[in-house]
Amino acid sequence: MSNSEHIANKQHDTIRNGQGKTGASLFGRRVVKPKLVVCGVLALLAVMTVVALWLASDEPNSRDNGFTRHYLDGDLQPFLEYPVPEDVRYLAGRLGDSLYFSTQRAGEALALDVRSGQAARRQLVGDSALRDGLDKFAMLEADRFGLMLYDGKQRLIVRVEADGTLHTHRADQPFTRATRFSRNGVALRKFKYRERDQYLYRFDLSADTALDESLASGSTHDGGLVSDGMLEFDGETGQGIYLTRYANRIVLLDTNMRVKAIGQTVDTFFQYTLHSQAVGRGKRAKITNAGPAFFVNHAAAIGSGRLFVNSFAKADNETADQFRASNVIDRYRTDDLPGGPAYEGSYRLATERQRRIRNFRYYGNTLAVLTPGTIRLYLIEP
Amino acid sequence: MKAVANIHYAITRFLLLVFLYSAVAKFVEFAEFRSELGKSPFLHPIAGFMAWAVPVLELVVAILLIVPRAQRIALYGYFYMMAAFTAYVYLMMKKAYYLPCVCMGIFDDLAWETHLVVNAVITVLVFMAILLGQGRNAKRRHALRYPLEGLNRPANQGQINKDGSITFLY
Repeated sequence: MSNSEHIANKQHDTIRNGQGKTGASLFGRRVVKPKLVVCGVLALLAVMTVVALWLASDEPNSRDNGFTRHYLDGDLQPFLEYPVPEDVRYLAGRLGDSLYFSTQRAGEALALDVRSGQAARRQLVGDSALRDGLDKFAMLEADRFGLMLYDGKQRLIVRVEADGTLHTHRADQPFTRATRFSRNGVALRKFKYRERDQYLYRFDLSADTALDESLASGSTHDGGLVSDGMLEFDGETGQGIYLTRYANRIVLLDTNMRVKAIGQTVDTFFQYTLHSQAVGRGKRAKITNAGPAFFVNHAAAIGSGRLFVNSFAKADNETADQFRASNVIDRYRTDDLPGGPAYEGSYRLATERQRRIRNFRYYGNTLAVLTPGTIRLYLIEP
Repeated sequence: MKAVANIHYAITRFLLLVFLYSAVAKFVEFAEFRSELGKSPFLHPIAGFMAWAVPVLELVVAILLIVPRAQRIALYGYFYMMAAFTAYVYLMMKKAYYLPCVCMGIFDDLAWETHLVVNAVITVLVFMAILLGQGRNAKRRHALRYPLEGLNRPANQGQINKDGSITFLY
């Protein structure tokens, strides 16, 4: 073998064995195997790190919370169930035989005929200038008087008559919650001028004025973040409630937004589970939550002297797996009790793939419950 | 084989940019990043520490990726961080009772599901970069097998003749 041949063979060996400068070591067993082992060990360590963080974290529903529930009807079964499009955001209410849903398009509603199951989209605002100006998170409400559209950022309140006629009103300050309690009376939770808080107001549609302010939602000087809640009115009895999300506080209101009684939901979260902080300085400061948000009360509905609350707090007589596998709705009586609403019992609604309730409504012994992609109707004992 | 080297080069440079961008974005919006970490049910007790540790480690790994001798250890560090982040996103989606936004810059609008996919893709890229790179003992093994090579001539210098044979120049 000549010298040049010897060198050529050696060079060939060099390349074949993956030892050259070309990076040909990729598929050599002796090189790849250690890399796989190291990557496997690192992946295992990474997963162990994250699992350790998870186990060390404090999840309120992984422990006993010091209260129990009693169930009224065992597992409730729906008597009607319809699929709804994925862009449906929440159930706005019932008008006639139809359930109305808010969609992701501003000013649009989806009407579902409960008897036939037929659904149709309806553009509520014909005026394109008004529609284009609407926030896509504008709130929709359907009640026995008709449809209402609320855009809190624009301070806009739009009343939609049955024949499609629109009446627009403007509040003097932005608001975050709105519900109608009579033909011309609207309850608002709105920002108070030059104050870092929100308060409950009554807005009279016939005169376009805000009346009778109330401090029912408390004063926390954080833009109303920690004391955020649900504002609902029972159209039949004129009974209003303000239910906090991050604590178990229920405030009973009259139609003048005066506090009639303050009570608690069945759980033990008396203190707000959320804390606020200001991020940034000066005018650019943003108020935000200073920790993970634990929803004590997630959704509520009111009607016929009853308050229904979808709670995210696990009771001691429920296992974590049971609680995850179902949606729980607690029932309260909202008559004028001195200590506030009285707990009557709970309903357990089975859910697939742990899908949580978006929101729900109560009318005529029926709970209409919206979960992502599905609306279910449950009949309950009065 | 040159293609393999090119792919390795492209991946490492891409990974370098990702970590560099991510670290800078976190430092630029540090207060917001610190605040978002504090909202994570898994991280809020150690959010202050993590808010500094994550961008600093990203920066260190990104710098080490530029240094040829430290590239291998940087890629392993990268792989560990991405694997941990992917596991964190998955576990948060499955187990956490509250999902904050922990992303910065261009990743700001990503949904958690999309974030999981992006993380998984980057983790696979890091894994590929590790596999395509030279092994730990490649140079040592080569030196043991061919102790005289390199002393006499630089390797791989030669020309291909018309008949397919190779003439090495030394």
